[in-house]
Amino acid sequence: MEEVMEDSAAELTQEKSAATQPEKGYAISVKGLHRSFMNVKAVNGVSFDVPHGAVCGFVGANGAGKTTTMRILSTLDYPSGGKVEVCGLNVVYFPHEVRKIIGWMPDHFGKYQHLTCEEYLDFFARAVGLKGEERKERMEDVIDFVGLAPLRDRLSNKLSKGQTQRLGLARALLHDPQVLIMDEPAAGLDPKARVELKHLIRVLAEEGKTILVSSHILSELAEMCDSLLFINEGRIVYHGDAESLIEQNEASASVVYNVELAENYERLAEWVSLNPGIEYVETTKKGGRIRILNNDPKERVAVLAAMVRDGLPVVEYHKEERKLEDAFIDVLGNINTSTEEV
Amino acid sequence: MSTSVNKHRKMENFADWVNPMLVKELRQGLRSNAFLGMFLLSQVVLCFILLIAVGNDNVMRAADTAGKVIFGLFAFLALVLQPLRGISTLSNELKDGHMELVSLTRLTAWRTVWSKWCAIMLQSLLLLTAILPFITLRYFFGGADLFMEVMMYVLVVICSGALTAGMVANSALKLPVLRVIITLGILIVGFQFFVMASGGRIFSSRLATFGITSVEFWSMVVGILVVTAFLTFVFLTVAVRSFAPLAENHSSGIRLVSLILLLAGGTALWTSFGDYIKEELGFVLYLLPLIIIAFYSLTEKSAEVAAYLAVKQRKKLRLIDWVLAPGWQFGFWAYSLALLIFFIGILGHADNFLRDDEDLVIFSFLFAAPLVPLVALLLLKKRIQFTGYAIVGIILFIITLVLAILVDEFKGRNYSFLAWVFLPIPPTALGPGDKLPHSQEELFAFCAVGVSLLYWVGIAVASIRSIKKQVLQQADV
Repeated sequence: MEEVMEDSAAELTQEKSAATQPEKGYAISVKGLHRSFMNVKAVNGVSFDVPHGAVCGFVGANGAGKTTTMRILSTLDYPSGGKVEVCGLNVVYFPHEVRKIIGWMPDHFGKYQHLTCEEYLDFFARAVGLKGEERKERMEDVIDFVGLAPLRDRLSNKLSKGQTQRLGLARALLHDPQVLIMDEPAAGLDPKARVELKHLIRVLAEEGKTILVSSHILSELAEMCDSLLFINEGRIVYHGDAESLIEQNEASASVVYNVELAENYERLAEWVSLNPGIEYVETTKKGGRIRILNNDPKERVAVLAAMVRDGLPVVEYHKEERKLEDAFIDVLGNINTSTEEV
Repeated sequence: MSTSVNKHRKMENFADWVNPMLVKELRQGLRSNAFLGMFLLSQVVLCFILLIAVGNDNVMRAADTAGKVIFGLFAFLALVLQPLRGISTLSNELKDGHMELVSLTRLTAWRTVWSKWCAIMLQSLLLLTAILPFITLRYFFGGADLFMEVMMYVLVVICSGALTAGMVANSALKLPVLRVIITLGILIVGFQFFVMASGGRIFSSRLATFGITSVEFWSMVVGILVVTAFLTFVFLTVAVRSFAPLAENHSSGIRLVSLILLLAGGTALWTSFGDYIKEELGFVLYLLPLIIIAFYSLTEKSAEVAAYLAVKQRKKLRLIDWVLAPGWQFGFWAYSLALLIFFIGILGHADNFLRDDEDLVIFSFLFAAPLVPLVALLLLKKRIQFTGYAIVGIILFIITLVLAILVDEFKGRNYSFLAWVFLPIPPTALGPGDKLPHSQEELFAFCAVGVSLLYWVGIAVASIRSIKKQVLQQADV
């Protein structure tokens, strides 16, 4: 708390004037963000920028610091140090102004008893200052947008998880925010609801909204995000797009091969254990997945030749497409290795 | 034509002029099973009572009984059941994360809590409105003192307001055990009020003796109004500060009002000249703000000072900040000032006060009791906040009680002082005047004052050091 109060009054005035020109600079700007809870450093020097109109995916394991960072951006928590700005406004000094331009969708939120979906939205619409006809029109817009029209008279605490997320999104959009911060919006959704949510996020991005969305499902994020942010133990370990990450890691990383045998499937694991430079990943229905640590194409051919030479009845041997998850794990692996070396 | 359309639109958008939280709370509250149950049950019971009264041979007597039952029923609903509905008002919202979503809108913490309290009170009034036809019918039976009865109903509603506010504040506490203890306390007070109200012992008998044209009558009514309004304000502020942003100052108002009431109470005491109504009122107005300042101001968070200085962009302190600025560091000085005012008032009113050792002991107890949990928290390097303060306070109270019993048990024996030494509030073990020689009693009394002053000096030093550190940090900016 004390640390964040280190900005001068002159700087505050500059920040406020910067906010009157929202298109300049970044929609989200985080510099050297720290947040500690007692002796635990939840966020440790995080810095990143998100340009206006971009969709940015925020990825990390549980407890990596995603939610804490997002809560600080949403003015729901205080940083212990560093500077956080939304459209040029410091979230500590101008929380009320920031709240007018952000929409916050938490991973979980309670629902009010005895209130229908329409009444729930009506309450929040009034609370954000919408009145009369404007309120009614805005409510109709968001209800249509998220597809809640058939459920408007249903009690809000009787909704399914997917319907609840739609209600949450509708609430976050009521005041037409410039920046949308979504914490695990797809968690617990069925595949159909996920596809719908993905579509809604893309439509919002096309409308020019800046979106910061966190998720565990990397493939989904890769499809809808312009850039990805990987956070691990409170630090940003990667910031860029998905394709670059895969390409960047592919050249140096190990490769996984899917091997199928005609019979004696268990022999594969035994064979791998006797051969250095190869790791057994997991058993499949008719064989297994192996990791070849040397990414040289000649080495891959040599492995196949060795299997045949040793009498393994190989009927299938193909390289697996590299996934974003693998790239993420490799990034984390590189971080851990460099830390150990230090 | 267009005028009527405009009027219709205005009526349709009437709710736009009302606090959104109030609209939401009323929507939820009026549909809840608790309210519907109370409403329907009260109607059934009252119909039954009135039918019995109509069928009775001695109509006057039956009407009198019916009047008492109607009032008793309303008093029970308003003083016990309705306040109980505030039990989870804020805890559920805080637990489900609603408050965070609400805080992102334009609704302030104060408007949120105020609306929640108003919603319960409006439902109490709705219950009263539903009972009104039965009260009117009872009036036509004859023998009713209309003014006094109306006054009684109004006073019950006012007391219900204070109890409901207490329950709303209680619902914001994080520790469930503490919530249960306080709920039981409020229930006991509410039930006590109900018993007194339904028995006609509260307000009516005393008020009736004065007559409505007397100064005493109106002094008492105004006194009750002031005390309940003050308590309601305090409880609602306690609820607000539990989740309001740190930068919002909810301390100055409460301290200012408390100090004004303290001065008013003192003036009433000094000018009472044997007028016992004024004297009683003076004492209540004197003691209550002191207790409030102690428990509210000494439990304010440390970081509130930094937030206050930053928000005001203040690099130097004004004199008034020492009493009104938020944070326990300034709260301690507010408490000290309140204590000084209290001390002067008591000294001026009671000629014989502080003339013997026992008075010294009582005063040092009053002086030190609220400081001891704060000393313990500071020594343990724990965060200052109401929950921690209350837990330490309860633990110290139990220790004090046990040790005091031991001291009492071993009174007169040579080693009794051992227990006394370990008492967090040493004066509590005193009072052995009849068994100790006068010189020893005097020594104990001065020891009590000495230990209490030691607590005071310790906190004063800690407070000044903390303030200095935070002011210097702000000056560096």
